[in-house]
Amino acid sequence: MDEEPERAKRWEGGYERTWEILKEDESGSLKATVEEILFQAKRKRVFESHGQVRLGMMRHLYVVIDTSRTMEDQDLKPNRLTSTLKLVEYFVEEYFDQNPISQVGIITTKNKRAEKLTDLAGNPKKHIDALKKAKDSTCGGEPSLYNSLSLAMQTLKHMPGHSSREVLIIFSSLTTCDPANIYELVKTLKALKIRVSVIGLSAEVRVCTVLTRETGGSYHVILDESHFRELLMFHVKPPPATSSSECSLIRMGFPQHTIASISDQDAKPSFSQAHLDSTSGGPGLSMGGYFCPQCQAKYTELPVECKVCGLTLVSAPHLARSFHHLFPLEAFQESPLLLHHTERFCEACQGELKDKSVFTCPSCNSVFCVECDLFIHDTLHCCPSCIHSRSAP
Amino acid sequence: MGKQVPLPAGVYNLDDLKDFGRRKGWCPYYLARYSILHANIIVYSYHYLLDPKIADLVSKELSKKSVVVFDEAHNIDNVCIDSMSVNITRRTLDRSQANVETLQNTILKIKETDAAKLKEEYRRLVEGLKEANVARETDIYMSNPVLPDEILQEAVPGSIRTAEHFVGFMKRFLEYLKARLRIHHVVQESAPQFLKDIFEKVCIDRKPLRFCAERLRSLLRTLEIADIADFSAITLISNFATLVSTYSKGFTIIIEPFEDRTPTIANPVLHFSCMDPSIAIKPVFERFQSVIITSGTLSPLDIYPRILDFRPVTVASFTMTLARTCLCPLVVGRGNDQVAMTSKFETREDFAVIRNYGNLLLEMSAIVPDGIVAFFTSYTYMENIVASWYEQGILENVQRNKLIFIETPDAAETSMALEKYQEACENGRGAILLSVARGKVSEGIDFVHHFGRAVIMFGVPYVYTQSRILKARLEYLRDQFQIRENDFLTFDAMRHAAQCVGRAIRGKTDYGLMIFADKRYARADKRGKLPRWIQEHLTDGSLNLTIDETVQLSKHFLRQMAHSIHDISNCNVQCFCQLNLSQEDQLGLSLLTLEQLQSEDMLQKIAQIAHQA
Repeated sequence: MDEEPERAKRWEGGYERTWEILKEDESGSLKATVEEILFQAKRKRVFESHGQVRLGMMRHLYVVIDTSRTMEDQDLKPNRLTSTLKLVEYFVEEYFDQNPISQVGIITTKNKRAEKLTDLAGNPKKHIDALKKAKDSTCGGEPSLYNSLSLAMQTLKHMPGHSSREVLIIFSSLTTCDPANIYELVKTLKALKIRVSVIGLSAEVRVCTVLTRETGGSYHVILDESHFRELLMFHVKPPPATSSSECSLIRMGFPQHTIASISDQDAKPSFSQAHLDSTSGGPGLSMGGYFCPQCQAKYTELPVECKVCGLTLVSAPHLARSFHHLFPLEAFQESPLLLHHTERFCEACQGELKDKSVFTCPSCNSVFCVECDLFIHDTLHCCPSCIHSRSAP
Repeated sequence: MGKQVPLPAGVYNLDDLKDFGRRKGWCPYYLARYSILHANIIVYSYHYLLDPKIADLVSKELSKKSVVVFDEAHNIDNVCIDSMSVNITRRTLDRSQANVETLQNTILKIKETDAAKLKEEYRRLVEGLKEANVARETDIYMSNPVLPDEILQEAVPGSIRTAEHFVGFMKRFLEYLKARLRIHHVVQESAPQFLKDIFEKVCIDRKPLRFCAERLRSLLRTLEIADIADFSAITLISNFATLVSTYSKGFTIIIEPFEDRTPTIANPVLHFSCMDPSIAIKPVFERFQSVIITSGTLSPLDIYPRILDFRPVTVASFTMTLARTCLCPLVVGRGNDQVAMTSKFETREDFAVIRNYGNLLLEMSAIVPDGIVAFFTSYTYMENIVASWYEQGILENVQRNKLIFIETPDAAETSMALEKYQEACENGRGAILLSVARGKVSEGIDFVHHFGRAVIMFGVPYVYTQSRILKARLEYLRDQFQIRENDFLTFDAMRHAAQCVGRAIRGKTDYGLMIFADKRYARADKRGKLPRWIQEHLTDGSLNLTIDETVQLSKHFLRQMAHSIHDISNCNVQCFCQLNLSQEDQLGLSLLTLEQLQSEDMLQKIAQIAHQA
């Protein structure tokens, strides 16, 4: 465990004692310490796998962003609001990458009121546009947890029982202005099985602790910007489903993409349902597209929920992308380099093994370096040599 | 009835006893008094053991082999002194006069109906005191400082043996006291001087005065007066009489024609104050086999044996075993304009100091979540500062961050404020409680977890140094125990300060900021008087900070503490921080389960630590 004293970053105004961390070895060289620091920075602790647990893959998540007075504070650069909006943009992209059949909505709260920035939707573009526009908005007043939660609840309670209902609050203020007793609202949220998580930007507030504990969410307070990003990414993974959610068979449609050319006799140009009420430019009329198997309404993009008949339309690759959450890759065993005399090269990148420790896949016993281990667990989600050995005839 | 049937084994508090009594049809008060003698463990307040009037009734027959533990005993010298001090006002004298009239009438009535009773009492008086003497010698009863041993060797003097004579005696004494209170300037004298004056003026001798209390008690018993409470005034006077005639050293009499704060209103008071706390506690030390004095803020340790006049067998001081640093003491000595912040008397009206204090509160209210408790040195000081803040507009800004509640001398208002403060902390609105260092809040209420995330001490809580009683006490301490006045005043102030800030941390998972807002705290003589568990976290880098620096350090501390409580095993933290600890991690380090506690090596470790000190 690290025994070093707490350090603050220079821009936070903390007093840096840089001389303390560097230690010389016998020959007077600092190389060992520098390498150690770099190694620590690279190594992340692997995500805990939950094992054989049912996950809530169809997620309906509301992100509540606090835009009160305290967001103008400059401890995150350039100020908290800009930094948060940028990170939430990145979060939205990652979220749809990992959870293609889920939906997200954004709510902002300031001046004791809450407003919906965007509705629950499965299209990341809309959210990102709205977030970009929100950068110019002013911050003021105090946030209201009660109002934002009840706003989110109004929509979430109509969602089907098999989906996971979540709210993620990014809370920077230390006070909340509520019109009624928030503990009553907590009870209602619990009854509706809505899971609320909070990321605090200032300090630990009691009401948030109780809120998250009662509804089964998590509460963390950030230390700096990279920690903030970490915490957001933590919420990209689908959470374990609550035991009380109905397990039912979900109807989904798998439309084929039809591309009709003008020379076809039956081809007629038509509007896509999704473009009917959108304000973005573009002709709107197109020849081909996805037609809902139940009602033949046309859509240009998947996944989407059919406006006419309510069927969820997805394509097979979307579901496959969520697959790796159910069967997560096991953490590789870490062992010091000295024990491995025979292997000199990493299996994945064929680079020489230079780090302090190496990682071994438990099933195929191949050895990987630190960076490949990171890449395999975060992005690939499968061990390359296992796949390679399986696919070989 | 019911005396043979003991109370079944179990743990009883007052409500349980009342229920039990109601069920069985017994009086719960006498049930309690009876069960004291048969109980294995008794938990009650100090007064039942230290105040001679009460201890006589309740704790007289406790076994010698008992172990007595005084918990939260940092104020024990004040409790001892209060229990032996008497204050007499004109109202008391008037009521005593009425009592004496009643006594006289009752005696006349009884003489007509049942003269034998009085004769019986007379005879008993001659023999009765002998009985008490025997009981004390064989250690069945604990000695009573109001009725010291010497009295028991003698019989009640003739001048007060008969009931009428005693009543007349009391009348003369009361007249004398009334005359003494009719003065226009302050008088201070010692007990022997007072007695001499009595003898000269009203020819009352020392000896009969000593038997006053006992005589009155037996008279009231004989006359079978049911409502003793009516006679509290005359009981007070008789206690005073016995005390003043028994002890030549350790007491002082101060007669003030008016209170210091209201010089125009004539309100004469006679203060008979005890200056030596060892008198009250001596019987306890003599009787019981082991006496343990313990507290979280008992520092400096060596001053207590000197004041209470005993030689300690073991002195041990323990620090808190913590898996992580959960408190952050900071000494703020300057404002952002580099003006020194202090509650020194000369600088109290200084505009800049008040504004700096306001800024400190404003900044802290913006960064500390949930509840903040702020302590001032006195009610007048608090009122002045709050009024200034209101004029400067600081209060308005603070209220945008948190709600503000104030403690007042009125108990009902204070408990209402406290209730609302707790509600505001629970609801997420956040609140600040402004209170006084020697008030009810600082001595009774705990501010655990979110109720007290930061405690701010505005100034050093010195007691009002111009009071004559205090001056007499300081002089006595200097003469008897060679304790310098300054040392004692600092000791008293620091113990109150430590008590106030100790309200915030009440458990191992609790955390809080302790802000000492006065430049004098940085000095070694004051810093050294703080308890060890605070001192070890007070680094040199946290002395004499400005408000800005304090805010930076506090922000960082709060983020660390919030981070560590929740178990985050999934994140890469680039700043090198201290241990992330959940409840499970602390187990074995600072929290112990029952099995761990009973294990062999844990017991050995405990024995080792105890021997080390």
